[in-house]
Amino acid sequence: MNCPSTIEEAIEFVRGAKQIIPAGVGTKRPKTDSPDILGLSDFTGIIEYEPSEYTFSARAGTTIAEINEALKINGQYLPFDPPFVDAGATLGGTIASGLSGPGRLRYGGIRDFLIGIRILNGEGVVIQGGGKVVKNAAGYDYPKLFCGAMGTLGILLETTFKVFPSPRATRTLELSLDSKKAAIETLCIIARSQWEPDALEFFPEHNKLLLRLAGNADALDARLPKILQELSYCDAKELPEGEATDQWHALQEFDWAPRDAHILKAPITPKDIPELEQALSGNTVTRHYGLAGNVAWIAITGNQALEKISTLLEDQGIAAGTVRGNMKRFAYGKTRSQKIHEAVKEALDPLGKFPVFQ
Amino acid sequence: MHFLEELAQRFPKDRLLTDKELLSPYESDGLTAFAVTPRAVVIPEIQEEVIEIVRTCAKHKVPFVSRGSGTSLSGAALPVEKGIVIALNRLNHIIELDPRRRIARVEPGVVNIDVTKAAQVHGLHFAPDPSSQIICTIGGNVAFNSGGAHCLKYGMTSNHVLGLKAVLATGEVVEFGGDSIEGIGPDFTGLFGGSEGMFGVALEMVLRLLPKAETFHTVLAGYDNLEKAGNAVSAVVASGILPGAMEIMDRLAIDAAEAAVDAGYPKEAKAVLIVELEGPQEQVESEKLELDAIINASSPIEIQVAKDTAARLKIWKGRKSAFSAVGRLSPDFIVQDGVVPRKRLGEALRRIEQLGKKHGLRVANVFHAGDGNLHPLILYDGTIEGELERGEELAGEILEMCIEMGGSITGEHGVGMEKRFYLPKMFTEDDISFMKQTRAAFDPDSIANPGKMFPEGQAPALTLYGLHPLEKKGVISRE
Repeated sequence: MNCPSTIEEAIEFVRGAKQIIPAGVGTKRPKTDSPDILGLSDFTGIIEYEPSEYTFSARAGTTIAEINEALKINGQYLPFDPPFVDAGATLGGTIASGLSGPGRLRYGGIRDFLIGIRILNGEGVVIQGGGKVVKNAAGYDYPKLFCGAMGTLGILLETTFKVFPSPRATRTLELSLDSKKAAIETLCIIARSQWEPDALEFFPEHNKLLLRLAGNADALDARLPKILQELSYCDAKELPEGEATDQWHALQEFDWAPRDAHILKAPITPKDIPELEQALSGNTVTRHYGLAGNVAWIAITGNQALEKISTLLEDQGIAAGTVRGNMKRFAYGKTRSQKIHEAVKEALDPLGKFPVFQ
Repeated sequence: MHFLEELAQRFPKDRLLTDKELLSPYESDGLTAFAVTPRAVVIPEIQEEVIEIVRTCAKHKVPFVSRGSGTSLSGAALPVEKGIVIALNRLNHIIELDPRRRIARVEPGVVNIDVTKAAQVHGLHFAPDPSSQIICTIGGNVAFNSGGAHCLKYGMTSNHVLGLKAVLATGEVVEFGGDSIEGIGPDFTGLFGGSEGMFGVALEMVLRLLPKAETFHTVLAGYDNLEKAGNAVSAVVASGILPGAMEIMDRLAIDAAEAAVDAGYPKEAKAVLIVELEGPQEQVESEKLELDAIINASSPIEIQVAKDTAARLKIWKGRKSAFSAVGRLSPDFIVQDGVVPRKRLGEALRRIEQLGKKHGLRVANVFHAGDGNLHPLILYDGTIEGELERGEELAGEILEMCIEMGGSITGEHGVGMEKRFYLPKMFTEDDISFMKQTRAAFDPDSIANPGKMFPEGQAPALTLYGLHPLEKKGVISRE
């Protein structure tokens, strides 16, 4: 496999290649021995980190784990909880797959924190998009376009992120309700509250909600009794720190999904959940609803089941994208076929070296 | 059939303006230095009409410039001589506002503040708050990825747009994103935001609404020099507190604000710093103690703490009126918008002062200190020969300084007409041709807002800078 460690090596590969499949370390899509793969696992390292600016720049192959560690020393973090950290996920792979975890609820997702990129196009030319300062409105917003692009528009070389100071403490409440309907109702109430929920997840199998609050310890301890009072109609309890950490960690690493399952991500809203739950019932899928009902994560075992669920999602008018697994396509469920998608692909990759988003 | 005849068949005379005097209000926007009379102004009332106008333009290859309230400070809505202006103010419907999903689906002509007004009965608000928010429209906010005083914590307009429907310059009607805060595939909604009207016209946008903060704590500190105010900002950042806003004004800007609105800012201070905490009651109470300690240790000469909403709004009124208020100190002025790394703010301000002296011009400074976004206001008198040119030169040198420091030529006003010659100083030829290729996919004939962002083309003749007519009336103010 081709794993350049310098931009020059990457350019050389790109110029000589007919087809290119950019890849990270394979935490989401298993690596193959295809000669077309351009692995970025050796293109690593933090280029600059300015805690006072709330920004860092790093090469695309740098692992999230390395970044998290560097940020932690300075009391900072990536607020969108990038997933698959323990699995070894890289910055580039996380951007390309457009993945954010539970923390996206509060301040936004990866698209909101990625402020600059340097990419390599199919002609071997390095292009800069965005910048290195937290506020910038110059030029087209390529950092956002490349979030979720799955390597179909070019190779991510370097990335610049905005970061925030870490909250000093967190508290987690587990809420059990009598029915899905009641759980969704409570979820909507909390999402609209002035508590500034840091994360809010829904476990449909147990009609359970997991709520994380973040802030100063004294403030959280003063507020919690009031919140529990307001939620007295459901079975609510604060989780001990260790248990809370484990639960959030399990969500971030997708431990709830069978290891060999295909995982899909479907953007939804809370009002889609009842019908989706009904449609999914009777199918052997594991699912989880994140971001206060704004995303359904669906784990499916087997290719046949995958196609079946895809059709089912299509019937519901729901689009889905791949998260982890060896899947043939990037897009499942309802797809939007628009000329502009092809036109942009053709404009940015005129030689057609990168995969097509389909 | 000729282009205008075709439009005339569809639009009555009062919605297809071609008389010179009726066109004049559309000649310019918030960047009053430029003025161009368009061929016609069309005023659609429904989305289908916008689609039809754009398709007619595409068929005849006639340029169009879409326009909301015309508050752009970068000349975004400056007409093209041979083209038309599509005035979108009548597409001002909030189509849907759903408190459960916390979204608003709006048309481009909806005024920014009206989203929050409609949402607040549900305890929600639309976070992006440009200073012109009582008049600027969402279409313009999205096209230029507008900012405001609260970007530090919540980001810019694009961070709050979940999806949109647009008619592209090709006539294709597209939908990007959706109602969810999640998305899949390349983020076209994100690319459309800040595309400066060069891809097409947004017809509908899905906005993310946030719960209104439970409480605020707003502190105003006066200092005997600017550097101390800057150091206080650094100290707040280093503490790990994330305020909703951090703003600094220098003496000249304070004078202007005081003359205009009597905000009660410290009389002796050379600089004031405004820091606002927002969030749940207990959290703000806790951070307040820390913030007070930081501010007390930063050697201020005066501290004002807003005791109630009225006092808080008074502090903000002074800040938000500062730009237009500068008009009281000088017959003309240029508003600049640049970004430098936060830690170099002090150095940037010293250099701006030196540059001002070099050109013999006064510069007032108002800036979003939290994110390094400078707004130097260059004061000049257009009736004095050479002052406008010197002002322009000074404005350019400030932008060059921002680039040299690793910042940006625009934090929130966009490139537009004003800064297109500076784009190549921030981006390489390759970067710019990549942008042009992208633009060509959306607009192969370059008919959507041509002449903006990219450096080519003739600049229309400069006229005098001055206040926007609405600024003179005190209706709007600049960020």
